Amino acid sequence: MVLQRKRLSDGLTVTQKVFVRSRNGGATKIVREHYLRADIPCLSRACKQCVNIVVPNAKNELPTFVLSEQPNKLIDGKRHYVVLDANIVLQAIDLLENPACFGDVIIPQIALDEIRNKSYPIYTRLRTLCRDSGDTKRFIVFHNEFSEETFVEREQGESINDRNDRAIRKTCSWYAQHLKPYGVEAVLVTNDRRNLELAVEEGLLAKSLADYVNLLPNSEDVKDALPNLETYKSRDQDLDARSEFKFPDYYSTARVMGGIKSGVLYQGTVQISEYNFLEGSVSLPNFSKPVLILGQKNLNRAFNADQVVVELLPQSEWKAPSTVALDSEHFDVNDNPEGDEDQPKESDAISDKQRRLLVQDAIRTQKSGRTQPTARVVSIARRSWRQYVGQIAPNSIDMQSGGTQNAFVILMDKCLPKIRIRTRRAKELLNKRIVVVVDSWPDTYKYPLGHFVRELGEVESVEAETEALLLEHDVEYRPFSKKVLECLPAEGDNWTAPESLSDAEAIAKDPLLTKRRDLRDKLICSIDPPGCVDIDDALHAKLLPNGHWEVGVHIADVTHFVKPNTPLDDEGAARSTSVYLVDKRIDMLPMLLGTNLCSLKPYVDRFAFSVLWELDEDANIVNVDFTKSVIKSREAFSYEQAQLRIDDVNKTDELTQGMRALLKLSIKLKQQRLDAGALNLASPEVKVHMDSETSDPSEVEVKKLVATNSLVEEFMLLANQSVARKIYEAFPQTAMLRRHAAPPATNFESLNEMLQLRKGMSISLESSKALAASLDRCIDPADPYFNTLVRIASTRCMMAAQYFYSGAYSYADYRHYGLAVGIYTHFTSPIRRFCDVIAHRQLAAAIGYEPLDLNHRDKNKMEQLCRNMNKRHRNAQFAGRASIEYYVGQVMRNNESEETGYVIRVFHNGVVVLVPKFGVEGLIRLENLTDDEQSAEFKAEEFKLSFKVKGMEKKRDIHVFEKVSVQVRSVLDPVTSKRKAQLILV
Amino acid sequence: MVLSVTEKLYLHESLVSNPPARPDGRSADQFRPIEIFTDFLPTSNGSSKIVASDGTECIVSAKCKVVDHTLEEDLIEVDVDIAGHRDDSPLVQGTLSVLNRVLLSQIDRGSLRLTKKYSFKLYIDVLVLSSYSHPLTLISFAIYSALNSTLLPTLISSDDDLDVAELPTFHDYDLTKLTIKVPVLFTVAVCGKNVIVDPASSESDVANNGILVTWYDGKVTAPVRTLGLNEDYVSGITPQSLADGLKLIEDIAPKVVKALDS
Repeated sequence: MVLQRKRLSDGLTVTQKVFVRSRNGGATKIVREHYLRADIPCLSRACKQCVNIVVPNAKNELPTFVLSEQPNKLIDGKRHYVVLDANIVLQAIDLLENPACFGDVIIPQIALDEIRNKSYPIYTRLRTLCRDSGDTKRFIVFHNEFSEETFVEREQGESINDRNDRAIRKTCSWYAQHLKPYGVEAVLVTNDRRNLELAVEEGLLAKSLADYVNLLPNSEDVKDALPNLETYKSRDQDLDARSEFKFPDYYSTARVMGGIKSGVLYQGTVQISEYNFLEGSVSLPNFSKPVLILGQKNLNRAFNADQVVVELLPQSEWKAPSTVALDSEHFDVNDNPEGDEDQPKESDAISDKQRRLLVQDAIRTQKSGRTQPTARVVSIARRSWRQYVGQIAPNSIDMQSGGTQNAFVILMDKCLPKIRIRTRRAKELLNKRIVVVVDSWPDTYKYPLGHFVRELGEVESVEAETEALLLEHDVEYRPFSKKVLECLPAEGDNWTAPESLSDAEAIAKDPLLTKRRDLRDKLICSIDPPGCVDIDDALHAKLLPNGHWEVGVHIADVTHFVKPNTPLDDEGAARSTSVYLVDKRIDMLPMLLGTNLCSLKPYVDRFAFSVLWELDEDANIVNVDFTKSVIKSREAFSYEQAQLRIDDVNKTDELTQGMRALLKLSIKLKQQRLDAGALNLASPEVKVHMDSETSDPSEVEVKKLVATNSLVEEFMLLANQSVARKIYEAFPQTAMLRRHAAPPATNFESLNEMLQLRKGMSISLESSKALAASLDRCIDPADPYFNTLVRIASTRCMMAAQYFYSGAYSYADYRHYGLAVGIYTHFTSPIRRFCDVIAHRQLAAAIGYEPLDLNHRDKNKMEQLCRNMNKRHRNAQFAGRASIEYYVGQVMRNNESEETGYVIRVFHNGVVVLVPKFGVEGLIRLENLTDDEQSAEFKAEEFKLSFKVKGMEKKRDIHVFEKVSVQVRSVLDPVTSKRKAQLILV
Repeated sequence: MVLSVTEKLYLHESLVSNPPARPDGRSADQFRPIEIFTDFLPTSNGSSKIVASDGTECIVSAKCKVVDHTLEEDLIEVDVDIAGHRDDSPLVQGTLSVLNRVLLSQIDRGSLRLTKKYSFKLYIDVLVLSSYSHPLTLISFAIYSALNSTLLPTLISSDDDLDVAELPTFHDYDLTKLTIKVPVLFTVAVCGKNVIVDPASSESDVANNGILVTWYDGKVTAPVRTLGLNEDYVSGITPQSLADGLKLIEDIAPKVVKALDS
């Protein structure tokens, strides 16, 4: 059928688009009407015609003409606009954002569509570029698909890519024609060989990206940022880098979809082992344990956290998880980036029918023995590629060479392979932390190809390391944008709570003021760590005439300032949590709120959200009430100060009496919780002391707790529970909650096996109470630290607690295993956690203070929020730990010492030792244990490694849980230039 | 048009005379002029519209769906809607059952096969906008034209998926012409010793009997059956009439099919 255009009115024609939608194997013919207009302007200020045709949009605004009349010149003096092909944006978005090049750029709409389909993050970056770059970069989108002049119809037999390329060429030729009278050229930049050839054939000015950059007057400055791709040109030159090595091809989409549907292929997220970067595992819904993926070939170019599709390998290749520790930096250190090779090995072909039987076997095998089914990656559903921080491996570059050369970049994340980049500045960048981006991983390359983005600074400098770890953990650390800051109260630091809640003027400004309760008469105080500036919470207790206690927990009223659907709210939701590093805090909300207006500082009036209980003598809840309030804290204590005040018998004022009551009640609450089976787990938490003058880290200390810590903690837990119940009652489907699942028995399997074998103990998993009790029983009389060690090990077997909305699980699954409570949420730290902000809004709605925003009543929106919060929360924890690790490394640089350590894992080629004093753990490699590596003997079933001690004939056995003496010192790894605690067995 | 008894008698007399004198002057083996348009519904895979000279008008649309042919018995499903007749009326039900039976028994399933596991299933919707004579012949012509102008999505994944499971994937834009042999139905009226093809409604009113003849792949095939065209003149059918009827169709069917194909 021939499609034809039908003129509807002047400047508007209609045509039809016909296409087939394949989905789940079906095929639907879709017909869409497509309207073409004659009033789409070129948006060039040079153009004299287009101003006559423009029409206002729905908001009655005329389009702004962005492209300069004096655009940049090429080397040959031609003034030009750039028309971009989609592949350029996808490959070189960093370059486009570079202020040194690419001014006056036209993005054809068809290219934009393709970019959105291929990579949404790049699409949003491009959109931001178009919207915000303003006069500096001048990016526009030209809607070629809707313009009568540039719309092209697909020709019979033409592939859609060819058609889109033709549409882009048409756009470019239209611009060239259109702007000819004004002396501006249109340059098509594309890396697609065919498109380029056809464009040249059609007489257009067309260049590949590299050629275009060469034509720029400042080409030398931008060349380094060119993406490293296997282009058709480099393919010819780069023959030496491509070798016989070849990864298996990925399966076609048809095969993947069919396989998943018929149950022979499975989709999941790859998790690369942190001890061995050539071993990954995928958690699959049908299998009780993750399925292993062993070796480079089977991993088939998958990165850590990629979404992949896997296929089981034949039974003959099933294995136990590897007992070798291996990381990318020490693997194939001598690989030459100029060429890499390996011998391909074919695996036997098996049919789908056999494969289905194999699945049955695999599930059975997982349940029974130690061998585990293995699989191989056959397709990558979604890449997790982002910007990575790393440094150039010194032995991968030629120090003599001055020109462009290939170099390996070793990434900080040791689960990832090294990346091959091309750079002119290899020598300069040596010993610097640099940011790189992965561009592609063709099947003939052993390592992925990437390019340099920017440098962070010298290795080991505080700035570079801090920025590196923030980048690595995807923490947003840029200052708050202007739009966000505009949402703050105009009064700034001078904001005050109104004197009287019935003041007419104040009510006019904030009509909700009448619903607040005035609690300024209560004797409220806050107890926090010393030096705390963002005070989230404050407490009070008062004896009631009936002998019960009125206890109030007052939480900073953040939602008074952070209204839903404002840029401030969006920013908070995106950050989700404050991140605490050793020397730095990355706030979730701007300083003004966090440390002043919301912070419940003493002696000033502050808005709060209060939870008021009536508790009886045994700390049972008689009554609970929630209200927005205005309070005045009488005092801000540190934990020690509070303890001193309580212990001081001379103080008998009402405030101190209240604090004593709080302490008494909190002890009862804690006992109730422990009786119910709350867990007392441990993690090796340490605190780094900074030298106050030079702010150099000087000392490491293991965190200590005092009684007042748990005073505050208990009431916060109580408040969180009460609020959780209330908001669940009000919003049974979307209440913002937090759960902690019971750990699956398989997690504890190996720990229990070790305990059983070495100490004759075991951990019971029947309930959290049984677990708590069995942990208490794990005592080695000879070693008081052993119990803590077991607790640390158990913590690692636990599931992570997670945020969720109530509709996502059934009530029974709301349980918080660790705290042994049925329902729980986070309510008490809205300054530093976004979950609390949502809980505040839901509670405010539940008590009829203000209506709840739609976003918090919509399951899909809540799902998105929860997913982001969980991710950010985890990243923040990792970033915090990484920061401590870095500083501990710095401290140990100056103090080398001999410490007690415990063996926590035993491998084929080394042992992992934890040193409680510094909270560090490290692998001691076999080569550092013995001179004679052949003599070593590893017994997996006994968790034992025996080897000949250095310089002696005697054999030494090392078991798991063994107490050892280790020499701790910090060394700079020559390959990765990472400072690490190195442990040496004494 | 309602005829009086006298008129009917006169008409009957003329049709049984030798050679039959048909009211519109046609010879026994002549069709009324018809007009056919194809492929006029953009959203369906194949479509046709047929208009006969007496104003009978019929629209057919064919749509496809991908099905697992090991699970799905019937690869063709017909739905008939005749304006002015209820869905459960004998005319609609009779037409429906004839069409379903003819198409399912005659059409080769292989021509709809995509892969070893999957086939297209065709949904044929017949809408008779107005009918003045028995619509079956026209409907079958319309189906014939619609199916012969049907374009199905082009498979781009491999067609062997027995050992290696694959979901069929299709080209985003390209469509492939369906090559399929479609049966055509003829109605023949028996008037005395004469047989006349394509009876007009007045002729149906006085015919002694009607024969439905299926023509498929160059020959007459099953089903061949009688059709009660009226209630007044119906009588039994002689073997001779049946043979004459089949002979008539054998003579003219190739020409009709040729005309439909052009």
